[in-house]
Amino acid sequence: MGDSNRLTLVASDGGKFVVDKEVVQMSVLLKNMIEDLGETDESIPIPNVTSPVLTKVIEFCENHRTDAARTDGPNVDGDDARMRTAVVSDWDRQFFDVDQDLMFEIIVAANYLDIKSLVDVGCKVVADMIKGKSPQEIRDLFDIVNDFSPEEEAALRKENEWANDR
Amino acid sequence: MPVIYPHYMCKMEHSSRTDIHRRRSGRCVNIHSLPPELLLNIFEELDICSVWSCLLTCRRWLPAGERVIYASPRISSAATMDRFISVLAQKEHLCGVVKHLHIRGKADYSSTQSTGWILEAEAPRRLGPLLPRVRSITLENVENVPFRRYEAERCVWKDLELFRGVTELHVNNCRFECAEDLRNIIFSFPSLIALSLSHVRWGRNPDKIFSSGQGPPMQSPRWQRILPLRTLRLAYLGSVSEYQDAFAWFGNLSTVCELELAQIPFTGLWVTAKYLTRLADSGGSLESFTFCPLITPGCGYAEHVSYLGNALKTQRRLTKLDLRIVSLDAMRWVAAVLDAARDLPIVRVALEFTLDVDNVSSPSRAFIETNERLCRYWLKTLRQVTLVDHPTGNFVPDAQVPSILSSRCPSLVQRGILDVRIGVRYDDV
Repeated sequence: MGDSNRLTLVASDGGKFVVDKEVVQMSVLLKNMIEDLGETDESIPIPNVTSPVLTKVIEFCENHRTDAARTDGPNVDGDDARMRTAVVSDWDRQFFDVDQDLMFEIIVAANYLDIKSLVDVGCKVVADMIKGKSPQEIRDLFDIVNDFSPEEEAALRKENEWANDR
Repeated sequence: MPVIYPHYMCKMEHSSRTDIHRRRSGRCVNIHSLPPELLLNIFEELDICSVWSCLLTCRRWLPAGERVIYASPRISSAATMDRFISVLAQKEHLCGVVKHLHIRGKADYSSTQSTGWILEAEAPRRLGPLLPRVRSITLENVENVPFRRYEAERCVWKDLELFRGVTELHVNNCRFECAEDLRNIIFSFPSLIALSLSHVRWGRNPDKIFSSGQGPPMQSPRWQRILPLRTLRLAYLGSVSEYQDAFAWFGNLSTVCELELAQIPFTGLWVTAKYLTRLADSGGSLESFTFCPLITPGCGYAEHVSYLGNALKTQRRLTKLDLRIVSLDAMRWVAAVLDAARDLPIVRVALEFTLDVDNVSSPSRAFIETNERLCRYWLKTLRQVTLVDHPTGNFVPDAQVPSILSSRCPSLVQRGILDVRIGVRYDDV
């Protein structure tokens, strides 16, 4: 019989990760699954996530494992909108200082595993990369092909002229 | 026995478009792999100009970009409104995207120019039926619109009722010819849950405006509506009489449980007290009270705060107090408010202030008195004391604030209920 506080996750490429249940439960998907399965020694397969990505996801969850406890503590309700503006910490920024492929893989995996805080931080990091850039600069940044014709682009600009009235 | 995994653990299918892109780019995962909801999350973090850039980046990003831009349109002129409506006529699916409608009378609030275009262009009548999912309306920089003269020709309030689902109304930086105009606007939204009036003024003598009898009678059956109002925010209203008017309008609503008052003069606290007493008499009670009085030099606070204190005692379900202190040197009223709330089931207290240079080295006497009360009162119920420093200038580095404030409240630290935060930097506002 293994340690009941730990379980094994198996990445899509077969990599195995033994982690604390508390850490894993930051994933709503895994939390529900653990509840559904009850006590088991079986490994849990994560079919959509490769080992390098799962390593990063676990690293994030390990680092943020106390966040939930903090919210249950002194921060009674957290409903103060002025305080709710989540800030991307230096650690989070460092965490996402990886190549684009891995960054998007982490975000997609976090979305699949339903880890809200990781999804939010990832989206903020991508948003920061986009801020202040022109359409062409964004295309260059993410290797996106412009599939609008010049006429379509002009029509779109004209159509949305009302939004410039700010 | 093999474990049968739940259905949600089955392999995720990727869209064919993503696969095509993968094959083309030779990459495993890229920004094209993000599902639309994540693209929307990213766009919602952006300023409007950046969303614009995203919208024009490629076809795949267009729908998410439009959703963000059309979710909170700001209409600032008749011409803007015409253009906006003409787009919606072509793209009907965007009508349901609009959730927060922002109507700005004019760009510059400081001018005295009237913003009559709102009625002349029939904004409520044209936008109401078009935008069925609007939940929140903000009116900003609306100035002396002749609502009642217009009403003689058409019932503008009925036009406003076309926004059936509105539950939030924010009125900022507006001047109305008379109180009745604003009251009619508010009571045109029968599902209103949250109302915020900030920097709003209104004329005191409607008879002067309508001396020729142009307007309809000054009483309206609409005012008898029982709005399901829960949140009321009144800030920077012109004078005590304006607070008095507002409280009188909502005096019969026992549902209000969250009250925020900012920049109300101490001399106006009897008005608040009267309102709170009436609320309690009707079976209601505040659950949350946010208070930021306007401190005027030479104005004694004690008598005025005692009115408020007596009324606060009647709020049997009050659990949250948020006291915003403009100056740490003038915070003696805080202790008086805490005394008044001593027998209430307070769970959370927040004190917001600016830790200025004069208060860094040692706490003021009033701060010590406040801390003493926080340590002694509500031993069974209090779970959180939040001290928020809204920095200004560079007197105290943000990183030093938690240690300075924690060292002044050792008992709260020991109980694990002190939470120190850095709030909005005033320089940035």
